[in-house]
Amino acid sequence: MGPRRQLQVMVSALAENVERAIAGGPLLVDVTANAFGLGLARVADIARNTGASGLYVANADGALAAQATAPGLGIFVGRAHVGRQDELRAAGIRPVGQADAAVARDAVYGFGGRGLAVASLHSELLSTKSIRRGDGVSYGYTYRAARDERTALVALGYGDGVHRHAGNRSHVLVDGTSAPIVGRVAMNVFVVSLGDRAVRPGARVTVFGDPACGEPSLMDWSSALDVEPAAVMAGLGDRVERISS
Amino acid sequence: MTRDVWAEIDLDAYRANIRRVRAAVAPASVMTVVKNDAYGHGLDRIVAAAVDEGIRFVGVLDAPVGVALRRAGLPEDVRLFAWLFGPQEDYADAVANGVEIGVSSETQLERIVETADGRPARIHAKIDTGLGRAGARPEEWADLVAAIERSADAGLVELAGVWTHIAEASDEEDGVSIRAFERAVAGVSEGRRTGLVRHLAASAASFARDDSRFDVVRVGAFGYGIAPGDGVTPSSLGLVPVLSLRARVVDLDESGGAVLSIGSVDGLPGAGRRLEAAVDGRRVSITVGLVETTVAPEAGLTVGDVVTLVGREDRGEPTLQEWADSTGTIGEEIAVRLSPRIERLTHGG
Repeated sequence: MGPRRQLQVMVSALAENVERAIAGGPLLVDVTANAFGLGLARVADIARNTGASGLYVANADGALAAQATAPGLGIFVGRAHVGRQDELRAAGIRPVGQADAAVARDAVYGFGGRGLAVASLHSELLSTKSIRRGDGVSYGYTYRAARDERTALVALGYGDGVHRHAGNRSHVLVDGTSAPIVGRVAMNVFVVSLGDRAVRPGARVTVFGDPACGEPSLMDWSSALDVEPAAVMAGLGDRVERISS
Repeated sequence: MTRDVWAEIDLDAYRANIRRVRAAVAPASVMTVVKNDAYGHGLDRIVAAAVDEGIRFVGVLDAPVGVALRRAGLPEDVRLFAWLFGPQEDYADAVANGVEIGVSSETQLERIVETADGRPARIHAKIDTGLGRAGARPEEWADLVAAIERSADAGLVELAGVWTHIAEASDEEDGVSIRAFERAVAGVSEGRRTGLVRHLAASAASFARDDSRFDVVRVGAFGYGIAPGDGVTPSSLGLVPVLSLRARVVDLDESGGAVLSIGSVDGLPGAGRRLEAAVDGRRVSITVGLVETTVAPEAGLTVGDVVTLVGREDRGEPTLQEWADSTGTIGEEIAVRLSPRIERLTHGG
């Protein structure tokens, strides 16, 4: 129960990205930061099924967590404290310098505009409201309505990974039509302007997704915020349900 | 367990902050706000410390969090308050477990009555006093109150409170909101006003103005020692940061920079940013990367040295507020963005 907040992970797109990248030579799939928020077990399965040479994690703590989650796959670590080498070796984790494979990140996850889009972030309208010309919206009243208009509350905030500075800067899709985020994003909600549109509570909100389906891309979203796409995806909170599609 | 990066949660500091807040806002009482895993500090330990300090009202935001706390044995005399719900919410568990519910519209009221399994929900009617988020607008308020009073007369709900959020845009505009709130409270029938819990202020307003406090103040940030920013420090408010984020140097890069295994994918402010950290109270310059952060070579660190990214002023460390001021945000955003993968170690009780 509770408001809908979902990250749909497009498993077939991830697999296709890995397969395309493997065509260029042996590959380690970078699963740093819980596979950049997509879920390590899910991405490890894809790596296994597509014949990747193993997994890569940038740091020792993450590599040990990956080893516990995805046994049976070769795991390579980036930079680790010299005092942890015995611990890593005992877990079967090797330094990436020993791998005969390249580490792939952007091409796998579609970061930096490379590869297919692999995930879409959705929520729903909680409620709508008619506000009047001059009314402020959210903390600090950084937005003032230039005319009477309709607004709606969306159940995502910076605690879910939508940056606080997305207000008055970024757009989302509401029921398929672009709507600007107005006022400051709060910890758990943001407000969109609907203009004159009448949209019902429960309407689908898309923050980013598959440009091939007319959704804004992760790159559009992250570049508007001046945040790396990998940090956007990895920064999505635990309340955002990850589902494979 | 994470060994190269960890956060320390100082429960003694949290308790001291709670005492400080309670003294500052008396005779109003404190609802301690523990949404978002207690702002990344760990729900269970924070709630236990708050209750032990005498707090008897806990704001959870999400009803399932309140239900879980109750089922885990939170005493019945500790009230719980939740206020973020989906349009198709089922309120049965919340009501059965005594989680009080923020109500913004007649539609939501109907939904509560429909799904509460015949038990009367304890509700807090929300007025929108200008923030433009949830809550009934002033022109909708009389109808919402009338609908609630009809449901209360029929024994379907219990009106326990009236509340709002304010924008903290300016003293003057907050004053406008406070007066709008007073009018909204006066819109409740006189016979129902007795015992009604009126709450408007969050951390900053609760300290800044006595006319904002009413019966209860909702305090999240100040409990965690997070100051509002714009140069206002925790110590200037008599608060101590509860969370300290530390990392040890795992390697030196080719130019002698000390490398920490934490970056913007773990919740640090965006890659490429230069910030300050501290080593034994001495400030050092760091650059945040995507998966690693590097301490400037001039710091002369060696492998194994412990770097405090954010911590406490009295130890010479940057605070969340200092980082927030230099990155154009607020301490709360940095705190709740810190990855749950980073282990939280508890100190004090």
